[in-house]
Amino acid sequence: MRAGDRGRSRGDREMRIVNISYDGASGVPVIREPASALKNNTGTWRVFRPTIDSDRCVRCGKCWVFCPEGAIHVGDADIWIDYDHCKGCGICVNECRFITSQREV
Amino acid sequence: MNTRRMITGNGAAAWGARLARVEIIPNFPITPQTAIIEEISLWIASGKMDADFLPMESEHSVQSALAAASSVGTRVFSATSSQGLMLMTEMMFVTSGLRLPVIMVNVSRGLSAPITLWSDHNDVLVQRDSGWLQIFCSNNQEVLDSVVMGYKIAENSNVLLPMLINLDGFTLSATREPVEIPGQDEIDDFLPAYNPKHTILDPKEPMSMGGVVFNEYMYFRSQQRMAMCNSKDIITAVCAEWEKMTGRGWGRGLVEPYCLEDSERVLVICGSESAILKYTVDKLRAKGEKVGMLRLRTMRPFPCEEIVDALSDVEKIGVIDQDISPGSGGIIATEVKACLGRGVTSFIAGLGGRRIGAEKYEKIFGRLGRDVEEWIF
Repeated sequence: MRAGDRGRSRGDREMRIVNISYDGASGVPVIREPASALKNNTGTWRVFRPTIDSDRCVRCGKCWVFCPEGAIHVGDADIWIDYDHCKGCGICVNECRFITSQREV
Repeated sequence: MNTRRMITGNGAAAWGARLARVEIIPNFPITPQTAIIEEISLWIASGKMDADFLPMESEHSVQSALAAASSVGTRVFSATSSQGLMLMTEMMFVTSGLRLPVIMVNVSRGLSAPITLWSDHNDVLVQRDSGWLQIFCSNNQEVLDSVVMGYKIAENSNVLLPMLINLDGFTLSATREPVEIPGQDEIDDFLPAYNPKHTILDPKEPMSMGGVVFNEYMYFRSQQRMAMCNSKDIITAVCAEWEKMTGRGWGRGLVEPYCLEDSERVLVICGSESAILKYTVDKLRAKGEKVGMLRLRTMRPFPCEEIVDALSDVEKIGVIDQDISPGSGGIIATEVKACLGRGVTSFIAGLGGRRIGAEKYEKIFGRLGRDVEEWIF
């Protein structure tokens, strides 16, 4: 039976599959663009927001090592958190005494 | 060049895989399937078959390996039975969800507990909602033909679904029958190499398969469902092409009618039991009784239109189920009733390989016409 066809399959009653088009290979659940997850703003899931005390941070990079999301970035002079992708798991807060967390408002 | 040999159903399945030039065979042994992968491993070891043989640690891993190997663009094959198929269940949905044209043979065997080694369709029918095409074979020749045709059907860009080919444990798997083995050059013309466009391992074209979706989930399910609808035409077309080449078309691919023209009483059946039923039909026809048989060759896609076409004028219909859904009834009877929109007599028989035999089929033909479930012990 095709989409939109009237089927004979239920005896005398009619059955209709409405408005489904078959998209062939493009209907297969495959993501063809690398790093497309960056488009997802997973930061909205966060309940607790970590903050780095940049005055006391020694740039040891421990938070960067432990962050499971790759949401902490190490630059030449500082370390910062990508709040669009930090889910607020709190692992960095646990690892570093200079990172504190506050409930999101 | 064609050769004719006496081989078992398991041998026929192995020959199908060999002729289709499969490249990777992940496997795990289980009775009554083991002879299939034993035969293949022997061929690989002796250089008759060019493929990778992967002994896995469980059936769950076999199904994972099938999906992984297929998703990078190789042609894959495996076989299992009963409990093994159950252990694969989780990954069965992944394989079909990723739209990978894996072909797997199931040698049907009843499910434990209690343990049985003999044929019963409950194992394969548990997988009916897993998005796999399902073919039920009636003899060893059909097993070989179905495996080769299976790749052509499953790999069609309008289908892209895995296929489960069922043969009955012991009845077919361990019984030798004369089987026509087509020549390799003939099969190479019929079945070109697998060249997928939708999933392939290529560093220049990186892709991630089966990621998290939210609202899109239902869209992908609908695509799978449409692919299943498309497969009916493809199965018919591939069977027609096979018939032109070998003379064997297996009905139109979906159902095999037998003596239906003027039938007043018809039994619906699937699998190898159909051979004994055909014998019974011939015997009763010789006595002037208007009886017939309809064998369902595909269980998914379910041949609704074909059943309605074949049976709408038949007065008394019965369905033989070698399976049982406790609390509902015979699985196939339930589906046939839904197609026809009227009652049929449902017979539960042959569970765990219990013998049915021609004399019981004769009695069954005499008990049609009531909308009840009857157990034939």
